[in-house]
Order: sequence, then C-alpha cells, then structure tokens
Amino acid sequence: MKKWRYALLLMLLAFGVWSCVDPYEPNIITEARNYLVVEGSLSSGSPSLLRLSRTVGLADANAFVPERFAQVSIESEGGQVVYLTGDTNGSYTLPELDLNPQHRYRLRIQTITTGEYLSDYVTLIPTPPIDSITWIQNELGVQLFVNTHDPLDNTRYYYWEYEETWEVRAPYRAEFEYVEGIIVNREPIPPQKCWKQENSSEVIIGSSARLQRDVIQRQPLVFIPRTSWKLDQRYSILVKQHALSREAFEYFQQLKKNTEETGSFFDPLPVELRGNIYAVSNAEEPVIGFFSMGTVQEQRLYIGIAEIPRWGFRRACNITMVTPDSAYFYFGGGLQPLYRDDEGNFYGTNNTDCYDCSAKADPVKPDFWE
Amino acid sequence: MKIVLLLCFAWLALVSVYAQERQTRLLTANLKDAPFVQLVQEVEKQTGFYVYYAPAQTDSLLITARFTNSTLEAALERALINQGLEFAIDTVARTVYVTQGQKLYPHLPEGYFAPKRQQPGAQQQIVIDHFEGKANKSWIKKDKLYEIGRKTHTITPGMARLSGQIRNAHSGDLIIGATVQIDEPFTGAATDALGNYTLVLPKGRHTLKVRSVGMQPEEYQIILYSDGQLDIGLIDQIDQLKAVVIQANREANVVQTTMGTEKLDIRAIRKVPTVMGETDVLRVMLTLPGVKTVGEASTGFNVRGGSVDQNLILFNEATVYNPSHLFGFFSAINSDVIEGVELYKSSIPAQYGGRLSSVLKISPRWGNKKKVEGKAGIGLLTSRFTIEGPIFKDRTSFILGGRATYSNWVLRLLDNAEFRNSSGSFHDLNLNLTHEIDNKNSLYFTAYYSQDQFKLRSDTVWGYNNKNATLSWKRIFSNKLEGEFSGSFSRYNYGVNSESDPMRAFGLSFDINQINGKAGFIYSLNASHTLQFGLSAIHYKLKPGSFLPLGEQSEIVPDVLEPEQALEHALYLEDEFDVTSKLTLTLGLRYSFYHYLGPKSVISYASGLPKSENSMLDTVAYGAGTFINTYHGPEYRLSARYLLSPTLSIKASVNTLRQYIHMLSNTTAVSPTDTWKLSDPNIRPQFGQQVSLGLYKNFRTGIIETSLEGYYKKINDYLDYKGGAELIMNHAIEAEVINTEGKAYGAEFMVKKSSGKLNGWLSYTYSRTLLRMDDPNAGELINRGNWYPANHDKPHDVTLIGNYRFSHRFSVSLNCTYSTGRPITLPIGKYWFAGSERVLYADRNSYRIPDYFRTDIAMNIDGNHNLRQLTHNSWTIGVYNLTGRRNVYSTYFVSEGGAIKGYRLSIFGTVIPFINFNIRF
Repeated sequence: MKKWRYALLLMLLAFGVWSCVDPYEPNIITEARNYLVVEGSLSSGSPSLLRLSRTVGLADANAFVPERFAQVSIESEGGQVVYLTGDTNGSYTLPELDLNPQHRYRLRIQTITTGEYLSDYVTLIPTPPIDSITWIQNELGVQLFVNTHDPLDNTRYYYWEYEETWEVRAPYRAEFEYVEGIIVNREPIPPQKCWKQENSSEVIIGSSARLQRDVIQRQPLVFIPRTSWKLDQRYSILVKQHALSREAFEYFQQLKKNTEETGSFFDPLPVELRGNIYAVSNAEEPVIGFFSMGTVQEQRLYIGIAEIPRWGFRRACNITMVTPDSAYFYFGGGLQPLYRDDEGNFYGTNNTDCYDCSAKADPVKPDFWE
Repeated sequence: MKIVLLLCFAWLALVSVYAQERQTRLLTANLKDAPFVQLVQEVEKQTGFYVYYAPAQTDSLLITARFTNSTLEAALERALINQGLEFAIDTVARTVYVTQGQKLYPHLPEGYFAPKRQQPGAQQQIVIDHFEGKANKSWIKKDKLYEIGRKTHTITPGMARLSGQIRNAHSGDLIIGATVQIDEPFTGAATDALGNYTLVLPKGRHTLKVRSVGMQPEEYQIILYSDGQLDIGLIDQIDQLKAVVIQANREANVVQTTMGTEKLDIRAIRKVPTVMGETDVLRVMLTLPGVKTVGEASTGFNVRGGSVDQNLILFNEATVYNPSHLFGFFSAINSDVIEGVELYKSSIPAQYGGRLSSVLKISPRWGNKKKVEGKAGIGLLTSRFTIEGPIFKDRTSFILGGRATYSNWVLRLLDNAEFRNSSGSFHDLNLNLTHEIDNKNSLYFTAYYSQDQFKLRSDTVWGYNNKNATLSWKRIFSNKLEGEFSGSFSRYNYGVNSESDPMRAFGLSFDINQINGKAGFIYSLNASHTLQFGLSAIHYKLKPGSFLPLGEQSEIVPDVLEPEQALEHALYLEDEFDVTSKLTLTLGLRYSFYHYLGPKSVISYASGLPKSENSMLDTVAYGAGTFINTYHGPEYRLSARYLLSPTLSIKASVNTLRQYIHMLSNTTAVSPTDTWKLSDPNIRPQFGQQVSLGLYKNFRTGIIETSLEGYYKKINDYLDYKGGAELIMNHAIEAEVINTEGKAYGAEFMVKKSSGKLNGWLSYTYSRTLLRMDDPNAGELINRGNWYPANHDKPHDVTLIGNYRFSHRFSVSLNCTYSTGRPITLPIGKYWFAGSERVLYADRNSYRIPDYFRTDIAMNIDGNHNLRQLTHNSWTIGVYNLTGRRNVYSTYFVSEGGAIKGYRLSIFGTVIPFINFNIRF
C-alpha cells in the first residue's frame, strides 16, 4: 500500500513537471524591426506637427527612436511643395499655413536610411468647433466629456487629443534646512505652487455614422479617479478636435485595439494595420500611421476644487514635532525641518511633496494659466 | 469423423447423378391447343415416367408447347407455365406429380434439378433462420447449404434480393457495418444501423462471405431461388489478442460508396498508447489522416481544415458540445461504454446536417443480454468501472459506466501550498439501456453526464458539464421498410466563480440547451434502389451569458445577456442506386430550414458600413414565438463508386452543408469558456462545399488497404474575429465577428495493415486551410485582403501507429507523429504612438511555432486466457513522449522591465511514463 501511494505521488509530481516554459526567441523577434512611424496630421490655419520615429525590437528598453534628418514635405496635386522643419526629436513642424481646401495633398518623406515614402493624396477635412466640454462627478471620480456637432452633417468621424494641466500645491513652507548637524534657513524656499502637464495617451475617436444628425454627445475623454492629485487645486484640460475621413477613422480604431497589451495565448488576435503611407521602393513594407489633413478646433476647460465636493485626494503629510535636543536624532535620520514654533520646537516631515512641488511638477506657470 | 461423413455424401451424390443421367430420356413434342391428357401421354410414352394428376383440375386445360430433346423438367416447366399448376418429379419412383396450388416435394437429391450448379457433397436443408440454437456451432455452416426464397425446380435466370439481419450470436446485439459479399460477380453490402443488409444477386448458388469488426468471419453456401431472407449470427473472436488493430471492414474500404469515412472499433482504439494510458477516442481520431488539433491539450479537433465547431459529435443522436475533460487532457467519452466511432469527413449522409466539416458518430455499446459482466480499470489519476447485464434475459439489458479522477486527495498530500490549493477533477457517467419489445420493435435509451471542475491556485472555480439523453425506437415495418424514431436532449453549460476579492466576487455562466426529434426510414425499393428518408428538428435555447455578483459584499453590477432561441429542421432523402454491379451512386438531398425565434432584441446596423458600435442604427424587440428571420436551402450529398476490379475502386463525391450554430472563440486553443452563437439577422449561417476524389486499393485479400483521397473545400461565411474582439458577455457580438471566406484543400494517403502479428497504419496528410477577408464594407481587412492560413493550418502530417504481437499475452504498440507547427501571429516590434508604447504585430498567422514530433510506446500484458477463470486482468505500461521533445503548445509575450520577452509553453514537455491495470469479470 505504501509503495502504491509512493508511485502515485511520483506520477503526480511528474504531472506538475510535465509542463515547462522556455524562452522563445524566433529570429523574427530578435531582428530589430525598423519600420517608419508617422504620427500627427497637417493642419490648416494653425501650426502643424508631425512626429517621425522607428519601430524597435521587442527586447529594446527604449521604445522611442526618433527619425532624424528626414526631408519631409507636403505636395499638392497642383505641384505646390511645402517643406517641414525637423529637429533632433523627430518632430517636423510647419508654421501656420492656409491650405487650399480645393486641392488634395500628400506627404513625402525622404529618409536618410530607408528611402522615400509617399502617402495617398488626401483632402482637407474641415473640423466643426467643439460645442462644450462637460463633466460629471460620481462616487468614483470625475468623468470629462466632449460634445460637438456639424450643422452640415458632413464630418461624422472625429479624433480628439487633450493636454491636461493641473496645479500642484505643497502645503508647507520649508523655511529651514538641516545641514551638517545644524538647522539653518533654507535658501531659496522650495516652490509650493507648481503645474503638472500630461498629454493624452489614448487614441480617442468617435463617430456619428449611425445617427441621423452629425452630433457627438458626451464622448468620454478622460476619467479622473477620486483619489487623483489632478483635482487637488485646479485642473484644466485643452481638447483638440480633428475631423477624420472614414478610412483614417478605421485605421485609428484598429490601432486602438492593438493596445500596448501583449499577446498571451488567451488574448484576442491582433489587428492588421495598414495606413495610407507607403514606401516608394517596396509597397509591402509596413509604415505605421495615417496621414490626414484638416483644421483643428480647441477648447479649454477649468475645474476648480470648489466645484468638486468631497474630493478624495489626501497628501500624506505627517508632521512630527521635534524638540531642539532631539534635532540630531530626527533630522539626522532624514526628517526635513519645515518651521519652528514660539517655544523653539521644530516641525518636520518625511514627504518632500509636502513642502516642494518641483519634485513632481514644474514651478513655472504656463502661459495660458488664468 | 467429419471428413468421413463428407466423403460418404460425395460418393452418394456422384452415384445418384450418374444414375439419373442414365434414367432420363429426352422429350420431343409439338403440342398446339392440345388437351392435358395428350401431354401426359407424350411424357409417359417417351420417358417412362408415370404421371399423377387430378383430372378435375386439368380437363379444361389446353396446352401449347414445343420442345425438342428437352429434359423432362424443362419440358414440363414450359408446358405448364402460366397454367397455375405445379409439378414434382420423383426420379426414384419414376413418377411425376402434377398438382394445382400446392407443390409436392418428393424429397429427392437436389442435384437432379440443377446438376451443373450443384457441388457434390452438399447437404441440403431448408433453412431460413439458423440463428436460434445452432449459432455456436459455426463449423456446421461451412458445409451447410442454405436455400433461400421460394424453391423452384429450375432456377430461372435473373436477380433476386437477399436480405436479413446480422446479430452477435452471443449477446444478441445487432451488428452494424458488417459486410456481406459474394466474389462472383463481385457484389457486397454492409449492414445498416439496424443490422440489416440487402443484396441483389443473380439467382443460384453462391458463397456468401460475412465479416464484421471483431467477429469471426463466416462463409455461407446459399442457393438463391427468389427474394428471401437469411439472418446471420456472428461469434466474437474468442481470442481477443487476435483482434486486428483497425478493423474498418476490409472490403468495405473498396466497396462502399461513402468516401472519407473512418471507422474505428473500440478494440483498435485501445491499442493506441495515450497519455496516462487512458483509452481515448478523440486522441485516436487525431491519428487518422485529415484530422488535426491545434495543440495537445486542446478541446476538439479539426477535420479537413474545418474549425472545431464544424464537427457534429453525436453520442447516439444526441449532440456533445464539449467532448473533453480537463481542458482537453482526456476525452469525455468513456471508452468502456462505446462500441466504436465513425467519422465522416467527406460524404456526409443526408440524414446528418448542421455542421460543415464532419460527423463523428459515437455508437454506444449495449449491455450483454445473457449474463452480468463487469470491468474495472485503475490508472494513476483516473479509474473507471462498468457493469452490464440483462434485466430480462435476452430482451432487456443495461450497461452502466463511470469514470472519476482522484487527483484531488493526492494533491493534498503534496507539501506545496500552490498544489494544495489547486484542484482539478472530473467524472462522467453513462447508462445505456436496450429493450427488445418483439422482433420488429426495439427501444434504446442512453443517458450521459460529465462534469469538470478546476480550481486553479486562486479562489476561482471553473466548471463545465455535458448532459444528454436519447430515447429511440426502431421498428421494422416490413422487410422493405424500417424506421427509427428518436428524441434527445443535450445540455452544455459552464460557469466561472471567483471569490478571491469579496468586493468583486462574481459568477459567470453560459448555458446551451438543445432538444432534437428525428424520424428516419430505410426503404428497399427494389433490387437497385435503397432509399433513406426522414425529417429532423432541433430546438435550441441559449443563455449566452450572465455575470452576477456573488455574495453580499460584491459590488459587481449584474449583467445578463438576453437568451436566444431557434428552430432548425430538415427533410432528407437519399437513394443508394446500384446502376451496375460496378457503379453505385448515392444521391442525397437534404433541405434545411432555420428560424431565429423571439423573444429577442436585435440590433440593426447601417448597411454598407462595418458592423460596429459606430454603425448601430436601432434595436428591435421581437415577441415570444415570432420568427425573427429564416434561412433555408438545399444541401446536396452525392457520391459515386466505380469498381475497376474487386480490389480497386475509384470514388467521387460532392457535398454541400449549412451550419446555423457557431462557436465563438478567438483564442488559439479552444477554452471551455468559448461561447456558442446562433445565426441571426446579423450573423449568416456558414455554408460549405466539398468535392473529393479517391482511389482505393486492397492487397493480399484485404489485409493491406491503401487509399488516396484528395479534396477541395470552399466555405462561405466562415466566422473569424476582428482584432481585439471581446466575445464573453458582449451584447453586440455581431460587431466582433466577420464573415470570411475559406478554402481548404489537401490529399490524404493511408496504408493500413489490419491483421497479422504486425499491424497498424501509416498516414500522410497534406492539407492547407486558408481564409480571406477582402470586403472593406464588412469590416477591417485581414492581411490586406489576401489569403491567410487558418489557426489550424498544418500542411504536413505523418502518423504511424504500429502494433506488434509477440505472443497472445504480450504486445507492443508504437505511436509516432509529426506535423508542421501551427501558424501564429507574432509581435515583431514596438513603437510609440499617440502617447503610448504599442506593439507591432506581423501579419495574421504569418509565422509558425516549431514543428511537432512525438513518439509514444506502450506494452499490453494480459493475464492468462483461461475462459473459466473468474476475472481476467491486463496491464498497460508505457511511455508518452518517449523522446522528451518539448513540443510547443503556445507562445506568449510579457513585458519585463520595458522589454518584451517571448516564452514558449510545452504542456507535455518531458518523458511521461504511465501504468494502467484493467480487470474484467
């Protein structure tokens, strides 16, 4: 009986050992991919920005490899050519330019390594203005929406980007500093008011194709969870609205589905991406991105702390009172002195965020901030 | 003693034939409207035979006949034809008896009447049914001549129909698929689902060969006078080790009209080594040409490029939705309660429909009607037990079988918290009952239940179960018409319960219910036409998903998908038409209808736009019982066989099929949480067409069978998925699927040696399955609208199954298989776009995982074969994956510190020994 049980055990152990996982690096993965990525669109009536980069191998730690020194131009069917100016970050810009809405334009990119790329000709799509940016607060946080409509019912497909900016406040003024065993006045006093900026990291698209009228109502933009620091003081969002062609819309829809998640074997199948930019010498070479052209509409919204009751963000500032004779023990152990009371006791904290906002944000007030 | 008797008979027969020649004189006469008396006078004068007759019956007759040097028999035959008179000749007493209505039998040696056809030494006896009582003395039959039909003095040229039923002489079970054939002219037939066969043969003397899987072959000497019946009892191969490994009926391979049919007997299945030594029906199917799977531990199989849901798996007419246990490690079919399996890959009989690729028919085994028997098997992780026997002797029998794993308690023994907190268990139960009401009516009942449950590390419990039951009634209306009426229900459901976080505890469940009704008839119209016709109906009810909070603390918002229901029904007619003895056609037509039924809300989409959230127009609610929409269409099932020689045939077939229920799965391996979806106004039924051509040749009297089949298949509205499709708990699932176009083609080659010390088969398959999505209005293009390989596209596949019997008690089996790795879609890079890092994928299915290769070996050791021993036992010891190759099951990619790394998972990535103990009593 004992033997029998032993055999069973052995077999079962084998059961667990049967399956095994080995590293898998087929040639295709170790080869660094080097496809061109084109992001951005050409705007009429406002400055344009195109960002060129390259795909990298999966194992590369650095995901953004800018494409430098390319010659990027816009050509109209009528033969007009406009060159963009590039920088070392792969950004190619064009100052404000009025494009002829009757003409079709295409993008030409002459790279220094992999040859020339051309896009299909695209037409300029005018973008209707943003009607409003609205938000609601519920127990989980604040959800922001964008609303728009096209009185001509022509636009139908939309793409949004946003820039969030919020004020960051460090609640305590750090007047002192502990330097080599003594407490001295801190110079300069660290900034207590900063601004943090973030760009959208999602592809936000919407369509009214199934509606009678071209109306977009309450298109979700961003959700701010209840405990987020974004709404601690004052928050602002700048929404940029672009009109898209149906093809461009479908392209971004597919791109959205291939999110940054990677495939495990229960994951859904990835999508084929095929934009409107091609390598001149090899039509089969993948090029990521979709060239489109239009006008941009912007709108900015502010939300103040007073508008959102019961916000859940709390900065953990535990203030410790330190009697002068304990200063060495506490401040020598990393506590930062902030201020002093009338009896000579110091008050200090461990959390930098409580007295210096520049650690996580920028103390320079943005130009637009009202 | 036997030989002496035979010699005596032979001598006697020879002597009497000689005597008859001498005594017979020939008759010459020319009668024109002559009275009967004149014929009598001519006979008595010329032959010396004395004629007895009743003047009252003959005085009004006028005979017109002319014969020159005719034998007495021929002369009388001609003269008395159409007069309503019978005659009998007694050569010993030299008399002739002429009677009206009833024929006299003078009981004379048969040879006198047909001396040329008669073989000396035959003992004659009028036997219609020898089955009762004499069945076990099989040797008698070889010397026995069976007279069939209404006996006549001379055998008029022409054809007659021989029909009958074949049973197991021991258990009384009907034998399906037994072949009955004669060599000259080469004609054969196989028994149908009721054990009935029908042959159309030239009248006269024949040697009838009867063969069936696992039964001793028999030969019968028959004389066929006119249409008649011969019931046959076959005896089991007493020595089971002699059983051949694959016993598709030898001649059937060449003779039958159906193509692409694989029939495996359970004994053949048992010989193939499988993981853990558990006999596995599905795994053995995978060794046959044209049958593949995406991986080792995956549910289901792919037939000729079809997807997993395109196989109709029938257990006694009831659909089995999930045929696997433990994520596909074991098949959910208990091998002890089944008789065998039949897989139709290309000619699908008209009585089946509703799936595109194949029909896998699992025939239940019926209990022994004579005595109670049992069987038990003990493996390392599973055990099984079967008991069978009569309820009312010879009429009613039962078989009850069950299997269970006992891995759970073993897991508890391990000193590893992770193991202890995991568990996986399954069990299944079968009950098969059969009752013979009388010799024309039988009832059959099967019930099946299987349950699986896993708890994987966390507090998440997965479970699924199959339930089904069938009741069927077979009735023989006449010897030309028989019918079968069956009703069944099938249910498959799964659930996932997660309680790891009380706030987010949920229960997810899916449920499918199906009720079938079917009436099928077989009608032997005449010598060359056998008709099968009938109708069937299926009612489906699906609960596509409910996602509910579990426990009071759970904050999950309940979500329940609306149930859906549909009715599928069909009419069919199939004619097996023997055009000539060499050419047989099977002409089948099935017409199927499908109604999607309310109550249900259906979303409508803007036409010309891909179905997506962005193109939804409206939602229409339909009331209960309304026909929301209907699909219907004909399905053609045509096949032809031409015999080039008795051992060489060529076959061709054309099949079309429609499928109204689809499994939705966008994961590579089928997982038990894949949902099923009915066709609706937004999801069209799948439509498949297949043409195939094959060449079949048998060598060494059928011991070696070879076949070569090629096929080309087209599938319309094959379901594939948009990238990133979410299929579980989706209220608008039609927006996630796309109807693609599929094509599959390939060639299958097989050599089979079915008996002898060394037996087994070698198969090679070349096959491609390609899909295309090129309609931009239907959704995003896949691979720019080019053809791309399907998930299960594995071009080359070689399988060798070999068995060598060293002695009656010891045999070794080997299983060797190689196939091309299946296609995968690989991430090939990453890039930064719209504020995030994103992964770049290669074209769908443009790369392949490494090729697959595996060798298994098993030894079967039997205890002694003494028939009187109370229990018989056997051991199976073997090794799975002998070479220990780490065959890749799946690959996956994870992000580690900013880099994305690839891993490959091998499920049986090592040498796995196993042992199994079986006992029979």
